[in-house]
Amino acid sequence: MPNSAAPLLAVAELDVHYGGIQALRGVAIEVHKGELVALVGNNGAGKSTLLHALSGIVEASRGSIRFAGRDIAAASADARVRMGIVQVPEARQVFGPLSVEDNLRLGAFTRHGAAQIARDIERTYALFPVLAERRRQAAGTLSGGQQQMLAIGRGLMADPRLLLLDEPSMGLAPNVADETFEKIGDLKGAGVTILLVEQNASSALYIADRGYVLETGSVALKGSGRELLADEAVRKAYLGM
Amino acid sequence: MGVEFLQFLLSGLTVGATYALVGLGFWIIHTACGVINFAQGEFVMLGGMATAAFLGLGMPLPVAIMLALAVAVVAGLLLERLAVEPTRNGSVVTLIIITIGASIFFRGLVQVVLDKDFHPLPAFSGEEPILIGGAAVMPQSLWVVGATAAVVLGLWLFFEHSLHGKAVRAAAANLLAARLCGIRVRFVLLLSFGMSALLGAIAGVLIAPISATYYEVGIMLGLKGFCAAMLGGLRSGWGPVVGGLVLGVVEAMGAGYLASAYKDAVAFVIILLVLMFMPRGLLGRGARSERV
Repeated sequence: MPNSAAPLLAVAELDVHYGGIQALRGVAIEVHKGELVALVGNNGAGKSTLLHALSGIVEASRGSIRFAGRDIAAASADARVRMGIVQVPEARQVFGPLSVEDNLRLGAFTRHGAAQIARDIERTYALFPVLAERRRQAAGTLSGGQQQMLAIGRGLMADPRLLLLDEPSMGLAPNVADETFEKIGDLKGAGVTILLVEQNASSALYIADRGYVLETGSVALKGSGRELLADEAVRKAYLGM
Repeated sequence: MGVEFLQFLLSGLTVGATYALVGLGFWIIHTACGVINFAQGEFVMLGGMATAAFLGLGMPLPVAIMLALAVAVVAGLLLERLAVEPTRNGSVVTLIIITIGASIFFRGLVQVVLDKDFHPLPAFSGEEPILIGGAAVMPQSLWVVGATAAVVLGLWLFFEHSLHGKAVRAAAANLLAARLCGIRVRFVLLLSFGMSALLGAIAGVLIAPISATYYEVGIMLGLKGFCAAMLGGLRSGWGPVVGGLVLGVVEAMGAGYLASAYKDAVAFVIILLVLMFMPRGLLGRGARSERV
C-alpha cells in the first residue's frame, strides 16, 4: 500500500486512562486512504478503547490523533462524525424500537440534503437487500446477522471517510460471520477506508491490507495482513495453531 | 342519573386532560434521561401565574399566554442547563433531588417576585355553559380537551415523523449508538426539558380559568400528573394520556358519588395500588429504556 502520501489517520503516543487504570499506552497506528487495516488482540487488549478514543467517546490523557492532517484530539463526538470518522459499535447496537429505515436515516443525522440521503438509503438497500425487505420492521426484531448489516448500513449512511468496525463478527454464527467479512471486503473494494477491530484474527487479517496486534494496551506487532498471518507468535497466540 | 353520570364523566375528562399533559411532561424527561422531574408541577404553576402577571400588566389574554409559555420554557431550559447538565454523570437519585430543590426554588421565586394570592384567569371563550346530552359543559372544558388533543397529535407527529423526534427516541434506546450517529446528548436533554416545560405550562394556562392559580398550585397538579404517568406507565406516550383521563374520571366519579372531600385521596389510593400491584402501569410491558 502507498505509504508515500500522508496517512488519513495518524495516532501517536496515545494513552487512555479509565479512572486509575491505564487502558492504552503509547499506541501508534496509521491508516491510509483506501486501506483496510485490521486491529487484532485478545479481549481487554484495548481495541474498543482505541476506537472510542478515535470517536471521541473517551478522552485521551496523552498523545495525538491526526485525521486528514488536523489534530482532532479536542473535537467532540458529533464533530468527528461530521469530519467522517464513523464507528459501527460492538454488538451492533441498533435502535431497537425504531424501524430499519429510521435507523438508516439517523445514520445520516449530521448530513444535509434530503435527495442525496434518499439516494444513499437506496444504495444501502442495494448493498444489503434483506434490509430493503424489512424497511418498516422494528430493528430489534431482526436476526443478529441482519442487525449487523443494519449497523454497518447505518454507519455508511454517515458518508464515512474512515469507517471503524468494532467486532462485526461477534456473536454471529460462523456462516453469517463469513458473510459479514465478505461484505466488508466488498466495502473495501468500493473504496471505503476501514479500520477493523476483531477477535477473529484470521478472518480479519485475511481480508486486511495491514494489521496491528494489540496486547495489554500497546501495539505488540505490525505488518501486512499476510505477514502477520504467517508470524509464528501470532499463529500461536491468536490463531490457535 | 344518566345526566348526572355524563356530567361527572365530562368534568372528569376535562381535569384528566390536564393530568395527561402534566404526565406527558414527566414521560418526556424520563424517556430522555431516566429521571422523574419533580419540578414538573412548577411548570404548570409558572404557566398560570405568569399569565396572570402579564394580564395584570394590561396585556391581552393571547399575548399574556404566549409570553407565559415562553417564560416556562426558558425556566425548563435553565433548569437543564444550570442544574441537570453539570451533574449529568451523577446518579438518578441525585438528579431527582436536584429537581425537588428546583421546585422549591421556583415556588419561592414566584412567591417573592409575584405574590401568594389566588388568581382566577378569565375563561378563553366566555362562561356560557353548553348543554351536551343534558349535561352542562363550560366552554373552557372544550378548550382543555381540544388543546390537549392537539398537543398529543403534535407530540405524536414529532416523535414518529420528524428526524429530531426520532433522534430523541434513538438516544433513549441506545445512547452510545446515538452519539456515534452524531446526536448530541445535550441537545436531547435541552429539547426534552424545554418540551416538558411547555406541556406543563399549557396545562397550567388551560386549567387556571377553572380552578384558579397560585404559587403552590403545582404541588397537587404535579402529583396528579405523576399519578397519571404511573397509572398509564412510562413505556410510551400513550401511558400518561390514558392514565390522566382514567384518573380524572375516577376522581370525578368518586367526588360525585362518594364524597367530594375524598377527591384527592382517590388519586393517591390509585397510585398506591398501581405501585404495589402493577409497577409498570396499565400500558407498561417489557424492559425499561436506557438513561442518557
